[in-house]
Amino acid sequence: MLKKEFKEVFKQMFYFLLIIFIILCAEFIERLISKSTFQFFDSFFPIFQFGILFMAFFFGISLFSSEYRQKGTEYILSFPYSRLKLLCIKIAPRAIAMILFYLLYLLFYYLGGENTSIIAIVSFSYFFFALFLISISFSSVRDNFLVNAITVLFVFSGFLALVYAVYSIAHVLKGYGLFCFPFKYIFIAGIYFVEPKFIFFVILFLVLPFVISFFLAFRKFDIRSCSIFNKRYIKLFIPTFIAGLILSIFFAYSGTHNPYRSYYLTGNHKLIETNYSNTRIYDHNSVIKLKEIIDPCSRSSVENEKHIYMSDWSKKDGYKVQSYNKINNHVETIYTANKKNRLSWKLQKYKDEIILFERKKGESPYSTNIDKVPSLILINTITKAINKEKPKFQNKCKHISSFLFGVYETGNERLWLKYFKVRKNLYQIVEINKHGNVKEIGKSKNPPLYVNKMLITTDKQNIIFEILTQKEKKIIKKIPEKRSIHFNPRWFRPNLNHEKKRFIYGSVWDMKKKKRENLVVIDLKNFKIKDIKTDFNLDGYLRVFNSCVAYFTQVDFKNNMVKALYKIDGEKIKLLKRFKNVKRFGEDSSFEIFRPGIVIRKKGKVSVLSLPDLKELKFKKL
Amino acid sequence: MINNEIIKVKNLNINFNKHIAIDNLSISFNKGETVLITGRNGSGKTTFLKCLGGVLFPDSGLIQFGNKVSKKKIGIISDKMSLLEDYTLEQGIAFHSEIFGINKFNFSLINQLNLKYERKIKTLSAGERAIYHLSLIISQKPELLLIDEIIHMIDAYIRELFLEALIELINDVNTTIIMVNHTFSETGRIPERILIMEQGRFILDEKRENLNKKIKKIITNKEIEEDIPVLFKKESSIQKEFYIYPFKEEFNSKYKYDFQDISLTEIIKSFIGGCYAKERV
Repeated sequence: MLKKEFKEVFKQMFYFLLIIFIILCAEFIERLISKSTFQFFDSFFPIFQFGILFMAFFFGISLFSSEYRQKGTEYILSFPYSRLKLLCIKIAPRAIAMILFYLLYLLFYYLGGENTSIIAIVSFSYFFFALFLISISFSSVRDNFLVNAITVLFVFSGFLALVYAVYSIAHVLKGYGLFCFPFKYIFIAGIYFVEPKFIFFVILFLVLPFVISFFLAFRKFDIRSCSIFNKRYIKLFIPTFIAGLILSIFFAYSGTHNPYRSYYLTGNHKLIETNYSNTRIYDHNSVIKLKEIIDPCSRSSVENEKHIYMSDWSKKDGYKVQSYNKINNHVETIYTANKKNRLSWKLQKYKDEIILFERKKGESPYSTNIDKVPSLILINTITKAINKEKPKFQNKCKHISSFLFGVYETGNERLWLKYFKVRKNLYQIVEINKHGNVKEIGKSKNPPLYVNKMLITTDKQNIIFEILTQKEKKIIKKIPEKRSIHFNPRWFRPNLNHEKKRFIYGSVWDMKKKKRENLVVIDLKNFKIKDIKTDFNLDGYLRVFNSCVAYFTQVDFKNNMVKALYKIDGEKIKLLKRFKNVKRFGEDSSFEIFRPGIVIRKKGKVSVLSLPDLKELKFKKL
Repeated sequence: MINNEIIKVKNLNINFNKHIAIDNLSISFNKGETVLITGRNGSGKTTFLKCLGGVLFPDSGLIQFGNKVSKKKIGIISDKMSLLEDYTLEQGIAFHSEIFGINKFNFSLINQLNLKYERKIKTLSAGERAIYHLSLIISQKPELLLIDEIIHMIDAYIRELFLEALIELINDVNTTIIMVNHTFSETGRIPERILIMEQGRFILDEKRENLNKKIKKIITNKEIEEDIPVLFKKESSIQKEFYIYPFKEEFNSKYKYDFQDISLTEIIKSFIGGCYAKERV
């Protein structure tokens, strides 16, 4: 009988894969005709994902449909098998098919690369198997496939609502207030509130009552009317469901962590606290709840004297750029993208303009296909005027790790400097004029910098300082340096203004061990490179906020703990503070350095220290 | 279980929602016995048979099979003649053989009907299907064969084939046959034990040879004495017919009536008629 079942299941699998293959071919041909590149994750992968979800549903629900249709139920029940053996024989091939589909799904995910979030994959996996098991447990509700299918759809919707309710209850029980994640994101909602390993148990204990009740009820399955079987099923289901629900809530409760909160310390010493449902602004004598939600910490914002600018997304407006007025707490949308497009999260500023990228949804941010190169969006913060510039690349090449890193002006012309990674240890540098014309201007071993109107690049032997002119590059200095020195361009990227800098700080990396060996500083006055003398472990990260001072946060990456904070001024390094039991990040912990100070969240309690004096800043009701 | 017993049923209960189909029934069957279960419609015959065949699951009670009876050696042909209809005869044979571990299939019955093996089961007529199903079961060499009201569905020629096959089975394998049917005429001389079922219980369990001695009929135009047990009374303007059960030899000397022997078919009719009459009262 097992042979018959396998044959039947593999036949259905074959038809499914055939349909998928046809869709894949059709998609490929359509792309060929329209001369656009085939994008796996934009078109095929969601179809496949939906397809296997349907197959989970179909394989579960059709457990006995073949026998019902052929009026052979009585015949198979007369076989010399126990009911449980019969059930196992029916389920085993379908379960194997499910696993094969799932492996195929993982393979496609692996082939598709990094564009799909692992969170979505994990969540999908839970619900994929849950749907299969729930469908099985409703395969004998009636001897009619359609009725069973409709029942499963209702029950599974209820199941999703139940999962959401369990998260909500756990959230409330923990004292974090009402769960504020939209229901439509139920597949991934849990991940944001409950630790993933606990989500497994939350879902397991909600699915188990269906499975256990079905198996136990099926032990006495016979040809009597389905209502008798259903009564037996419900009798078993009620107690198991109550037990399962309690256990599920218990695991959701145990796994629910402090809700997401991010903090941003503004230049005028206001603290912006953001969670999924609201934003609060703290200062030393008041706390204000904003009507809008802004998240300058996680959205890579830029700040000037009066405003903070950040990009955001909402269901109603789509992608947009918001400005927050630090003085009067007013939030304004200064740009809204076309609904078919998306904006980059990272913003940069140059003079009075905010710069970001806009591209069609589903297209790669690194595309070089002329139609698909993301447009530069320039928002004038004073006049609110919007300018769009579209770079025109001549040569097709793969653009990864691509960033704007500088602006230089010659005469009336303003040129953007952009780099992208060609391969390991090779970055291509281009300039883009206002018409979008792209010109290759050089290469660098490590990401280049544009500081004090100098292009700073590296080759195997030297650090090279060049002045850009309209016609050529002029080398003004070469510092011989064979070590692999990385000047983290992240410091310079958000602010493209030409602020005079005295020092550039960098790290010497042992690429094999992937470990920082030393800290170095280049004095831009005399172009001398010097090692910063340290006698401690250099695991951690550097932050540079002004022309000469940097901060080094020493971190125990293995244990996710912040150990100490050092201030670097030229060659001098000074210990500012040692920390105990401060986690770098975690469910109720975070450690963030901003230009005006540090925000430490330790077991949910927030403290703010100003830089560089480390005085505690007091905020009302924090 | 006593050595000769093949099935022992103890306190069996089966309900269909609120309707009691089998009511605390206990009975046993011996190896090699051929049994006919009859009774009026809805008395629980088919339910009982399907319960023995494992197709129905009792709500309570016990069905014990003899030690050496393997589940592979139990065959059931139900009134629905349930099979996997999409299969061809050939596929059905292969599948059934695999499930029941049949090494040598008995094709004789199918061949006698000239059935083509590539035909689908769903295209068979009721009679052809009965013979095909019986072929599958016979090939199992069953120790217990359960047959539900199918004999009346098939034509005289196929019925003869069917009954011959059963007799062969009894001779070769000493199969216990329990069949449900409404009349004797269709089952020939095969049944040796008669069970009459009413409301989920057996109201008659007799060897066929003893039945004539236990039921008699009186035809008269008057009422009879109250101490004569009347199973069923049939009345017309001319005469009255009284079916006496259980009949005792002493009645012959005590009363002057003509206690007549009646046919087996009439015996069953009288029992069923008695049930209806009782329900009317």
